[in-house]
Amino acid sequence: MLQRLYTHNFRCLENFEFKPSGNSSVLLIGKNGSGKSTVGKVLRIFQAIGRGVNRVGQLVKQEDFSLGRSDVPMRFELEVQLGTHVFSYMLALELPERFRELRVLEEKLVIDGEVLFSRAQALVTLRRDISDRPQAQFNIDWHMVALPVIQDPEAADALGVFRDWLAGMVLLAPIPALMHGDAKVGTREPVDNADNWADWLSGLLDRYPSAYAVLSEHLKHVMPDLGDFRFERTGKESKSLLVRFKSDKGQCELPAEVLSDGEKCFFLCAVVLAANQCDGPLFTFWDEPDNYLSLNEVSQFVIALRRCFYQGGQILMTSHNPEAIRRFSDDNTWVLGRRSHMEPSIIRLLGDLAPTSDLIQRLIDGDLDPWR
Amino acid sequence: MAVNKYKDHVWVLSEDSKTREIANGFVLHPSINERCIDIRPFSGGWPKVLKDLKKGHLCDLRNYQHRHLVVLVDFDSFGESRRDLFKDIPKDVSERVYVIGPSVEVEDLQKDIQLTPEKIGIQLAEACANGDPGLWKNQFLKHNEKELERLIASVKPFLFSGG
Repeated sequence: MLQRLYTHNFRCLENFEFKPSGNSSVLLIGKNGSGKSTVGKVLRIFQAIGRGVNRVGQLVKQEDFSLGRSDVPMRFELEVQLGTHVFSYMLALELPERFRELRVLEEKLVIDGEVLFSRAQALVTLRRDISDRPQAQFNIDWHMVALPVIQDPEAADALGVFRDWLAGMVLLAPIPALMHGDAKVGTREPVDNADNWADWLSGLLDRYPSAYAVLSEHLKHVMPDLGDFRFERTGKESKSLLVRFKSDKGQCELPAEVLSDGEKCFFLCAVVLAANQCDGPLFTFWDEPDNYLSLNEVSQFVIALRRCFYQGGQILMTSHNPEAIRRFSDDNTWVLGRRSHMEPSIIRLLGDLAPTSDLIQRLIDGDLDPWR
Repeated sequence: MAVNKYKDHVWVLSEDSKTREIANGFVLHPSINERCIDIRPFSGGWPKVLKDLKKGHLCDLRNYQHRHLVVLVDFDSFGESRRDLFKDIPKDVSERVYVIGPSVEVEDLQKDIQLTPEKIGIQLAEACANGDPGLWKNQFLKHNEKELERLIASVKPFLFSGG
């Protein structure tokens, strides 16, 4: 479970600290440009590191410095509790003069208060538990992040757990037009626009056939005429998702890609629920899950996600939709805002702001600012 | 998909954001059939709840015979007289209207048990699911006993899984 996220000098986030306080579901609200989606972008950097991207230039660019301030390091910190252990990971990046690509200034992984490895520019220091062995030190290209490449037999389990958690983060900002129904390789790593959702579904069903029941139950609630769905082989290494609908007038089987945008989101929601239940607990960030949904669906959609993650895992959502916002409360809604493009984002727990009788009206009036 | 109005379902009318948050927590409990319950936007004070009830919801209750209306209000130390205000409604629908809430304000209840409104809602659902008094026996909630019995008898079979 994410306990703390800290970012400095990255886009609109300066000295930005977010502590979800052990909440299993969290809502981020705020005006356009307040930094909600940028929180997702920060998480995406950690996810990419977990998935093996270690070239700094593939994680951030010079343009990502807040207001172009490249003489100040960019800093990312993450604290998560996994089982009984607390992992703290920190990465600081800098852009020295005449460099075209950022390099690592500092990097550190701490588990339960003990440093597993630390790093200053190119020099990595590995902790050693055995007293007669000196600390291991070696150099690494300063344009490479060390976490994905460190192979330390003494800490393999802990490193693996943390890297797997980072890699397994589900960060979604789906674009239904890109969500085709073709699957080639089963995966546990959905991408943010969800264009590989069929691969994710296929991989989930391969590993956990019982996930079908979870998927089917949810989908039949939202699409009562759903009969079933299946993958049909279309080539040696490819298959296509087909969805059957039936009623007393007959039945038809459609390729998943012809489903409406909202119906694709129903499917994606069902996969999230099933993956969290069967392959979780997951950490999920879903940017505006209510996009593409009709108004009568939003409430149940959000409640379904909240209920699922209440039983395990953690989900962060962003929203502008009143129906979605009403499903959250003062102690799990965070308000983001910034006064202008020259100033950084501020985040405050809704419950810490001055009490408001009608949150939705204040949002409509543009009158809910975290600095008030 | 929104609740099916032609099958048994519960609509929750809440007085303010705090009572609505209790309802938000209630539906998070794993034993609740969330497809059978809808939490309406809060009214903004108990007089407005009463007005909304008499103005529109009574008519809807007649149109939708499977609807049960749970009214969540603070009793503000007015005891049963607060509940009685909501009971002054036609008999053909009154048996499907239930008035529940803390004898004081939600904030007082929060201070007493040191829980957020959502967590209060979850614990209340837990007690209903288990069939024991649980948090309902709290000093600020126990006055709901008879109304709760009536509510549970009517909605538990469809609102709770295995109900």
